[in-house]
Amino acid sequence: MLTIVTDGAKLHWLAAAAWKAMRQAAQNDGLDLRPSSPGDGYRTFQSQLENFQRRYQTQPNNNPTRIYDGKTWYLKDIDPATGRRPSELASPRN
Amino acid sequence: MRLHGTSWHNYGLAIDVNISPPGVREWLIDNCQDYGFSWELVPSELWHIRYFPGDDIPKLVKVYMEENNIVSPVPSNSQPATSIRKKPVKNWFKYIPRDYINTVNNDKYKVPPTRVEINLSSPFRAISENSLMFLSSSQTALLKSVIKSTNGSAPLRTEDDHSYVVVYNKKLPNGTYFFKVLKTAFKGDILYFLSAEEHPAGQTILGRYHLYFGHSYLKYVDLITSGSNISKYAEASNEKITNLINTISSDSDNNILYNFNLRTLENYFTTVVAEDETFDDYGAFAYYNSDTDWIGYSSSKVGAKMAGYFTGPAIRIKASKSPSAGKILLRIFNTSKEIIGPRDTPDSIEEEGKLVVTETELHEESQFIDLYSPTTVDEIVYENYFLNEAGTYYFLIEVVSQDNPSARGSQVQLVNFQYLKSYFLTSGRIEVNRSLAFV
Repeated sequence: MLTIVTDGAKLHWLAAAAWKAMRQAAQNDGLDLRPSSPGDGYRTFQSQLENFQRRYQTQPNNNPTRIYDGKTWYLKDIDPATGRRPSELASPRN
Repeated sequence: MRLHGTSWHNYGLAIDVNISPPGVREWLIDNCQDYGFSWELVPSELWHIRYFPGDDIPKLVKVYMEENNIVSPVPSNSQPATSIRKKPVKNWFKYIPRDYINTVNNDKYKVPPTRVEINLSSPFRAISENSLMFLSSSQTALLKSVIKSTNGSAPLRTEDDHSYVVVYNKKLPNGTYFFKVLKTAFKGDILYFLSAEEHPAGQTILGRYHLYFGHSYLKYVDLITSGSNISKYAEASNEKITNLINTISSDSDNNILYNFNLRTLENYFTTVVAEDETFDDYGAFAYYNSDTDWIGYSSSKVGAKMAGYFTGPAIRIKASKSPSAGKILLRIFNTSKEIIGPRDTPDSIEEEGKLVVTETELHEESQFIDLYSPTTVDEIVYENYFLNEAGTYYFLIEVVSQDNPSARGSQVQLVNFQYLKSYFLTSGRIEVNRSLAFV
């Protein structure tokens, strides 16, 4: 079902075909479409969970909250992966 | 950030694009929807796009998929992967296995695994039905390795191999396809087959020719139902095939199967008699200085020349051999120059043409063709079936000094030449039947 497209990123085969078609068209216009990183295509549930846990905590603070697994999760002050405040990032990623 | 399990990334349908390079973001805004991508969060996540059309594949993506043979890598969930056969391509030839010929619906089919399109877009000259067509070795060389790989190490390119056949298909107004299997054979490296129907000059032909290969006895499929809108082919029985092979020495190719009997190539030769100076698009004789050098189409003058031209891969030259006959030098040239008429192309042949047969290839010992014979007889003095290159061939015949001590003269008189009137085609790309991907 998954197909490697560009730089190791994976997509569903149909989305991959669409991506490749679009990438070829962009190349014809002199542009090189690439994913931001290999993990920015398909992500496993586990990797998405790890991303979430890296950025949210159950310890209450004054930051925005999400509900998951019957609990309230609070956006961390410092993202340990980047050393930056999550609020300083352009936006949390989908 | 979406919760895990709810992100489009988890479905493999979203991708974050590096939009840092100048122009990328603007290009995506202008174009990404044409490929089925849209943004989820605008303007906060312009790098995050997702594929949304489901099965309604955008036209540009469809085109790309067809050009690159991209098909679903998985079978439908309703059938196990081990038994899945995807629906065959509509214009792909299929035939009924012999075990299923007598079943009620005849709905079991075999589909050849591989095919190559034979290009005939718009013929220069009108081609009548059952005309001889050919692919030269330079075209079939491409197929050699592929065909071999589908047949193990056994040599395929012989007249005895049965694993290929040329099939013509044409789409009918009701959307179905009409198939016609054609008599097909390799002779040496040249693939011959007969045209399926008349193709008027200058008109785009309505159907397509394909060489199918990769199944044993593919050439021995048998027409079992025929009609204006339907034709069904089935695998011939072993008995029938054996009988056919045993009678292959017959001079007829009028059997219902598709082993084109190469002995009947004789029927496709066109003869141009030496005394006929008329010419058509395909072949003719012409004499240089016919008023002085050639008297009554005969010459003994050293240096006298005659020329001819023909299309097709084979030529035979017949001449009068006699005790007083001389010697000739024959050279054959290939040229892509369009023919106007032999008289319009005199001395330029040697300059413009590419010499493909030299005198040393004719007779290694003498390098020339000696027409001397103790008795008078008309005989084929030269034949070549393997002129593989496309285009028109010219040949030049020159009277040379007779140094045969037995000969009483140096007279040269041609009787005729014969050429295999056939139509040169080119091969296209090799296709693998995608319906067999999981078999």
